[in-house]
Amino acid sequence: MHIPDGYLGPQTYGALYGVMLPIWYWASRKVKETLKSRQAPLLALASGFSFVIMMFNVPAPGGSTGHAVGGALIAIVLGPWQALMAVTVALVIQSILFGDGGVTAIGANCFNMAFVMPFTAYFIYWLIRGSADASNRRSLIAGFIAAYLSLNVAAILTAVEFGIQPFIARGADGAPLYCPYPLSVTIPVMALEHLLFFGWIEGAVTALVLSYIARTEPALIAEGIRLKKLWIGLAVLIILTPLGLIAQGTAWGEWSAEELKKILGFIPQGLEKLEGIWSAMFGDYNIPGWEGQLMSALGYIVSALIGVGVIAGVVSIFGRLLSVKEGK
Amino acid sequence: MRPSWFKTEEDRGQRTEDRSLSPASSAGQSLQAVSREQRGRSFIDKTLSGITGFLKDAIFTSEWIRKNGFLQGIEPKSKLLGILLFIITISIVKEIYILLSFYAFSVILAGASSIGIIAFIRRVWLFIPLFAGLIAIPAVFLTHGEPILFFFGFAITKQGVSAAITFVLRVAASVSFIVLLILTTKWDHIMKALRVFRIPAVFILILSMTYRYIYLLLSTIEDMYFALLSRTIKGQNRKDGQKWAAGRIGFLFQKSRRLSEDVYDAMVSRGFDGEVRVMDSFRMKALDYIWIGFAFGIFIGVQIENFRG
Repeated sequence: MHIPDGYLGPQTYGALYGVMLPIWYWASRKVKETLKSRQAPLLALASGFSFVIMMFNVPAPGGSTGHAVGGALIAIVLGPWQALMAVTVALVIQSILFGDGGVTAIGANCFNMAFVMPFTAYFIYWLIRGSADASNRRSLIAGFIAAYLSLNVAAILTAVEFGIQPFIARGADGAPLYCPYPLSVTIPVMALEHLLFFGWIEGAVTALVLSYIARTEPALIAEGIRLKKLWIGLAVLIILTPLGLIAQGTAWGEWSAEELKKILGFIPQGLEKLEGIWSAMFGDYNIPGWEGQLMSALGYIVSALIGVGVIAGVVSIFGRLLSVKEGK
Repeated sequence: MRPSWFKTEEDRGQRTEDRSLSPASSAGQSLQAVSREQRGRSFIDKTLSGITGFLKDAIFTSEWIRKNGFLQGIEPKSKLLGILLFIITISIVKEIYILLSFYAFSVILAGASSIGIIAFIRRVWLFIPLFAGLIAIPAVFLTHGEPILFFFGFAITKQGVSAAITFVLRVAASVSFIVLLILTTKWDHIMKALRVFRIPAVFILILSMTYRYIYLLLSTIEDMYFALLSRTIKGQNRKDGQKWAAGRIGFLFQKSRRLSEDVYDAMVSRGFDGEVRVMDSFRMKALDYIWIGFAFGIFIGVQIENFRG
């Protein structure tokens, strides 16, 4: 998943550097607060660990072998901010000293693998684990799901970054200048291999390592975020969702089938049908009858609230079911 | 002494008869029809050959640094800045012939820095541009545009060919420049040169320490897999193998945490007060200014060319 130089155009990699700069700054302050002067050796070894984790080959189905990326595991055992710094250091060294992953793409690679993957994994893990014990089956399943989903999120982000290149930059004769494939190719390819193969390895390795740590040194993963904090974060995000309206045009990635057709040249099969169902329910995230900017902002917030509610409901039902099994 | 698995390709070719003793056999082994015993071991072989390949690369890299050449003589900060400028310039180029000139220029620089040109080209093309080339092939058919050739009923378009060539050349040229940096600069000089971007000293320290620990951790992993290999007769079943590897990952994590405590104590006992100082005795010479000026001039030139086009 390391993006090399030449795959992304300057608009994309520049923007992702721009996104990462404040995040790096914030993370370094966060890490300094918690680790004090011990940070240097601890972060160095954590970074080294994130670097070498990919060297561990594990038997995979069908007699083949695979390895985990480790972003989820590192986030769960170190906390998301430390994971962000550790994976960043590992990616910088890989890129500048070993030529693995582009120098121009450091921002993009860090965004996918050092920021989005660890944070997604961390929140999903604690959302599902709740207050269960580290060695509880529910915690291990939480580790599996967190790793599986966060790897897929990172893979799809990578696919999106690749897939938008042909729309952003073309040469004089109309030939794409960077990654030559549109979203209609990159997303299915990346999603399939990660959903069907790599995700399972990531999940299995993460859950097994967590089970080992829970048996030998449970204190390491005893404490997580207080869920309250997570809910505050989500609340902020929900209130911020109307910002999508201020941005020009449609929110990124929320194209309607018609807009997609303009971008892709065709409508992905099935989307056309799906869209009918969606607009029947919430039409463009607007509650029917609510017009105007303020109203549509409110509509966004209500839609976000409903969305989060549905997800939280599903997760909590799922969690209940799991702990009941454990109780038997 | 070199361990038996640490052999060049030629050595290994002569030793095919005792392949069973050489864990660093071909990485593609898992694709061949293998017996059940071998299958249960292939993850061990793959890890060991992966680590060997990594170390071999690192040794190959350090070979050219001590030589006398053009890039070795350039002061590290200017070299890093110049190389990054070239890579950024390559990322905005729109014409194939300009990309080709950049690639040719990188090969000339390699020659001028006493790097074997064949070795350089091989180091660059294996793996990243070669992979880019493979994934670019379908683009020849998939890109919309004027058809120029038909291949089993599929149209090859002019735009597709141009997209694929642009893509692969851009990747190859970028990788060439970063490889030039790696092959001609000591790793700790590259780290210190990062100061040019106002990166805080503490991160330079963390980067340098990380780089050192990577080798320590790798040799620990190697020992773990060797230990397993030496105890393996029939091969693991998948579940046991997974459990074992996951346990080792967990153990390595705990070990590195404990080690970091020891290292911290060792640093404090040697006078570390939390303040990081980076020794920086790089001096810019006239040649360094010319090098930076040249890189910057090329960057402006390509900008103007893009603007006109």
